[in-house]
Amino acid sequence: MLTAMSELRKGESGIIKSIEHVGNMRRRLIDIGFNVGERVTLLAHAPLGEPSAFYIKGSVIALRRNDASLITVITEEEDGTDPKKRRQGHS
Amino acid sequence: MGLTLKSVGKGILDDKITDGDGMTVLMSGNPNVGKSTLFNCLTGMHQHTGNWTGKTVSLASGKVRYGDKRITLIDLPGCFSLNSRSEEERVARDCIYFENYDSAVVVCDASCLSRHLYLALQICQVSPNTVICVNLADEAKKRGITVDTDALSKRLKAPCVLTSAKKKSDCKKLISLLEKQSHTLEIDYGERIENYISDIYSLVIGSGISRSDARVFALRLLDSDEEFCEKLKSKLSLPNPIYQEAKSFSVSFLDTHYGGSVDLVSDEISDAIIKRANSISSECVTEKKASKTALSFSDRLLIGKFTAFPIMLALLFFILWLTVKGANYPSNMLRALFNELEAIARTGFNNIGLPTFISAPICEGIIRVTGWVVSVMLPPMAIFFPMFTLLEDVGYLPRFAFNLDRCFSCSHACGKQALTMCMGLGCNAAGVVGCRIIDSPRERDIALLTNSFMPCNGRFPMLIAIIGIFFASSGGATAAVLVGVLAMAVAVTLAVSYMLSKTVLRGKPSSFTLELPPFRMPNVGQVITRSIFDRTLFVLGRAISVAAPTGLFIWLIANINIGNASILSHATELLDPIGRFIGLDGVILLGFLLGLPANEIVVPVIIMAYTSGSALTDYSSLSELKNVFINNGWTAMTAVNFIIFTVFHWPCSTTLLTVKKETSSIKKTAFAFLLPTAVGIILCLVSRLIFFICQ
Repeated sequence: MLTAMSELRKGESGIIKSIEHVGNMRRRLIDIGFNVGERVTLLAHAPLGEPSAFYIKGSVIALRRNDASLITVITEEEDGTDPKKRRQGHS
Repeated sequence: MGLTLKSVGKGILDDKITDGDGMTVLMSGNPNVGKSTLFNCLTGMHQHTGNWTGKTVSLASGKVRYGDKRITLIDLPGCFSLNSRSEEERVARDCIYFENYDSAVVVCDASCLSRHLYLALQICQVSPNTVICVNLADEAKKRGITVDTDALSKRLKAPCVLTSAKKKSDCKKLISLLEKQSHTLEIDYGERIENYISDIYSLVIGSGISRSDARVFALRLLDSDEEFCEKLKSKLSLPNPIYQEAKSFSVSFLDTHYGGSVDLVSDEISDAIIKRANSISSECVTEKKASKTALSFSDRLLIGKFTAFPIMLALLFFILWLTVKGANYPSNMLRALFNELEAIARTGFNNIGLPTFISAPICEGIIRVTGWVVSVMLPPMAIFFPMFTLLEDVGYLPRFAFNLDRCFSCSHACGKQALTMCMGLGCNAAGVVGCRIIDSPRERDIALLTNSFMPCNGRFPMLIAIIGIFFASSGGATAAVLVGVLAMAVAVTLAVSYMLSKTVLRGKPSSFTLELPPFRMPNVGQVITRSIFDRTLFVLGRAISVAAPTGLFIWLIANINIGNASILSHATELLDPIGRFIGLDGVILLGFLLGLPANEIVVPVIIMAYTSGSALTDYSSLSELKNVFINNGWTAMTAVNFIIFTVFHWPCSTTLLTVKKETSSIKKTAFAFLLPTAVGIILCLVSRLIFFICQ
């Protein structure tokens, strides 16, 4: 199912579908490996909740919640079992 | 940029590329791929290495001799691609396009080759003589990854070599490859863009431009970076009418096919490169084990929800405790040594019958102030630096920034500011230059203006001495108070960043990415010898160049009388009301004023001023120093305010010059002077008020 990358759970992976960033940040993200079709895994959240560390193309990149929410991913597993665990909205 | 002889202090203000004869070779690559380590191995120089993205922000160059080859090697700051417009990556990009060089080495990480090939492919298209260096082969081998360099070499049409940067033989192999000629690479960008490129080529062919240059030019035109294209135009010596024609052609191409969106076309271009990179990497790389996508155990502790902050504080405390404890012994020894030196010099001068007006300024001025700087300042630095460098080399700093980022986002600042603050702990001038890693100009200014809130190593020993004298009897207590002072400095930095974001530098936090590199085992022996050696030389040099003349100057103004008092007492009397107002006194204020070129001399100036009028006092221990201070009216409040003012006052002149250079704005430089001063005065007044209420 489609979801924002920021909504991934710890340890969950997804395939990048689209990137809504524009300009410099879009280029930077593409440059460091956030390419459409690439698999991304959320590794951990920072102790204060933000930012989150993502595993992408062999390296670990931290993004703030707002920035991660502009990347859409497709998660493999059928979801819907525990919608409460999935965090809602943007903080 | 790490902390080296060249990158701290005055060395920071010149960064010319030394252009020698022989070959010039550029070293490029993604950040944190071991370029600097490789560079050091090749040149035998001590360019500082560290395990975090953005460590090298300006150019370093060195020379290599290999047989009869003479090579000037230039270490470029790391960049992810040539398309980025960020300040940090601009330096590398411009060098690749415009610098005169014979060969470009692209350093790649064997463990994640496909990402690194993205840059390699871009450079192969621009530079006709590229050498691919697949580095960190040992790390990759451990992860079960092998790279077939022959296949890679064929696909990239460039020589490839596998290296582990610490191995000398690998470095030699790399140098031996530098001579081979090769060709630029062409990537198929799909029919639409390829047709456009041929159209541009037929437009410019009359001016004698090669096919590969025309391709580069055509692609850069689509990027709509006016300034860059103008530079490219003059490099290719393209006549203006043709350039304008090509430009308007590319604009209309962009409008018809992409609705004028630069993002769309650059997506299409990078897609083609990424596809090629992925296919090459799948052909040349074999992976035995599936790559791990979980946090390592140490990371689970260092960035874990409950362990991150306790570990952070414990680490800080441990480093400071070791610094305070370890510095004590050599400090006492050096002080005794200088006392002896002063006595020997005095008797020596007496024996040869030198008049007092020559011997006294040398003994009591030059030797005493230099002695203070060396004995009190040097040992803590010699211990603090190697330890800090070890943390940096292991890769802890980005984790530190990761843990604290939320605080910076609340202050509407960039999380990378934590990294520049760490640099500031070493040297504020280096910290200011380090602010280049922050992309957003607004956030960069915030980081730049608040950098001097972090006590640099020139001020650190001052804090240790005063805390030791007034507030703490043991090394552990001193370290604990120091942790508190640092926490206060961080809190004030965050608060002021927030206030700046709400007033003069208004704006929302911008996007950024922070890489958490894998942990690397640092070369402990090398780090320790290097940083002690470099720091020792640097501090000794500074002690002589700044402390000695200041010592002489202070002695002179303390002993030359105008009317019935010395120039010094006239000056301190003049400053006294201002000093008293903020809970200090005229002498302390004068000390800070004279400490503008180097904070190291603030305390010796103060001591000189206090002891100059009276009979000679030998202050062979810190407890005797306490008496000097108390006899001159110091109270607990004076000591507290002294600590506050040490952390928050005008930055040293080198830092100010660096701010001027980085911002090229006199207004911002003046602000960088006034902001910490105002903060210091306000905090001193608050502390004075608190002491007044409590009494």
